[in-house]
Amino acid sequence: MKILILLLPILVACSSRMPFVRSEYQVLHVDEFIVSNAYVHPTQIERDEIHLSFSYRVIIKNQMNFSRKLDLANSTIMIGLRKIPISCKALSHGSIKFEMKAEETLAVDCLVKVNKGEGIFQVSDYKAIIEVPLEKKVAQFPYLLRAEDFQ
Amino acid sequence: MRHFYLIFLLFSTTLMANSYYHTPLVFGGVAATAGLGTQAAIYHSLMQTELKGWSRPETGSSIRLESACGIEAEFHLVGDHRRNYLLLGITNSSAKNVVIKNNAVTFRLDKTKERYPGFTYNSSDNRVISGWWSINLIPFPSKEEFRDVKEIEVQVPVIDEASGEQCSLTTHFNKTKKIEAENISYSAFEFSLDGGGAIEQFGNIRRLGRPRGMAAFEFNFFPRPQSGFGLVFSNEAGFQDSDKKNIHKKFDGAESYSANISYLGFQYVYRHFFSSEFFLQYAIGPGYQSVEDGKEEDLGRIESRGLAFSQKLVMNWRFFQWYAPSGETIDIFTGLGLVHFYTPSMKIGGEHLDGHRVGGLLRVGVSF
Repeated sequence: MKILILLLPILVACSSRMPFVRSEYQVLHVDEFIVSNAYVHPTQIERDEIHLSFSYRVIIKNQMNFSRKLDLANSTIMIGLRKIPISCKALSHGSIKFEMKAEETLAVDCLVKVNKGEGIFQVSDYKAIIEVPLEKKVAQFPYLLRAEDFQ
Repeated sequence: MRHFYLIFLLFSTTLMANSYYHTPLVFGGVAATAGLGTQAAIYHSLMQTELKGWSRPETGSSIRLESACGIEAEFHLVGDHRRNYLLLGITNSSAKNVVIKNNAVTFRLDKTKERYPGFTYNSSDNRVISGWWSINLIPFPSKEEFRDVKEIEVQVPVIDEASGEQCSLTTHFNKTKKIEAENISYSAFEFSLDGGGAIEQFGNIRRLGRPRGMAAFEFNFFPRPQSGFGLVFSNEAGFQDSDKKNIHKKFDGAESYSANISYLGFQYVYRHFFSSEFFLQYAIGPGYQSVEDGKEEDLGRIESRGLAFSQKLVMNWRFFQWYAPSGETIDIFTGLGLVHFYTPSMKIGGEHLDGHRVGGLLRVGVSF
């Protein structure tokens, strides 16, 4: 009985999924914005019966000396040829459409929620692309989705 | 043998806790490729060690992003219990290979004082090939300087490997709130040995006699500069009464007898720093006490176990500090103090043993 109690933590740990790293560190210079993904949790992904979900935080700096408008409504994750909408908002004020002042830096939090049906026939791992729209161009970040994530 | 296992448990707990506490910053100072594994190291470093006193509400962090000469850079302020650091991420989007001279990074504090990094080991320059990135951990020379500083300007020289031309990446940090743990260099793990003797006893415990001596060892962990918790094990041995009487009548008149009291306890510890070398430490907590009485084999031994409490007040002097090549700082200290044990209720062989025991102690310890 004592041995079983001592072994219990090991058994519990072994039964959880392997925490694979899914995100690569990147600092991009796109559309005169600097964008960093240093605060993305590299392994955390939630699964329930229907969805996969994870959060993705990027830090954006407006490099120009004038203010610029951002609209995050068209943020997406691209899996294969399909673009699936994701929800992105500015961390400090929760807005989707806002103006960034000259040389301002702020954090954008994206919640990515994907129906498992999107990859139900998937047998291979896939590098999905998270797209965050800037003023004229899009910042793109790869995110690894494994075949077993959709099962 | 039992005592050996306890010493081993306390010491190995120290090593495991230290290993865990320092892991997030181990990768620092080395140029890296865009490997998936390093994202984890960066993320965990930031989550566990970023200085919250320098964070901005717009980002919830200390991050600054800058760009110059085709180089993108991100700057963070991070720290552990001993040092504060600049975490510098460089992405080379230019067509040229560049070199970051870590030793030539400058910190301008409150626009008045210019400081160079505080490397305690030989740091090499970092070469960042075109299209690659690098993460560097650059230490500040003094953590205590952060107490009064409100603004830090950082300049990082970036050199074109081919032409030798220099470009500079500059950023500013502003303090947003004061957090004391970010301004004090303190030891987080402490391992100490105490030895001493009895001063006085009060209550029924006096009937056990006075011990010849006391030995104790402690392991304490300090998640904050001034407060922490730990484990203590002590043993008082060789209790003797001057007229060879014992609380057990069957031991009366025996040529010699002995009792010993072992104590294993958990304690809360508070320490107050008068300076970086002198600190006062107070510890208090409950424990489990075992009293063994009797000596000669034909008379046997009697044992009793129960709850007890201890408190200690020790004045410490850190007289030696060693900087290991790995970057770790190890303190050696000594101290003088008082210890008090309280047994609220205990019986042995039908006799009460409650009371107070007060002793003096001399301490030697190591912390890091």
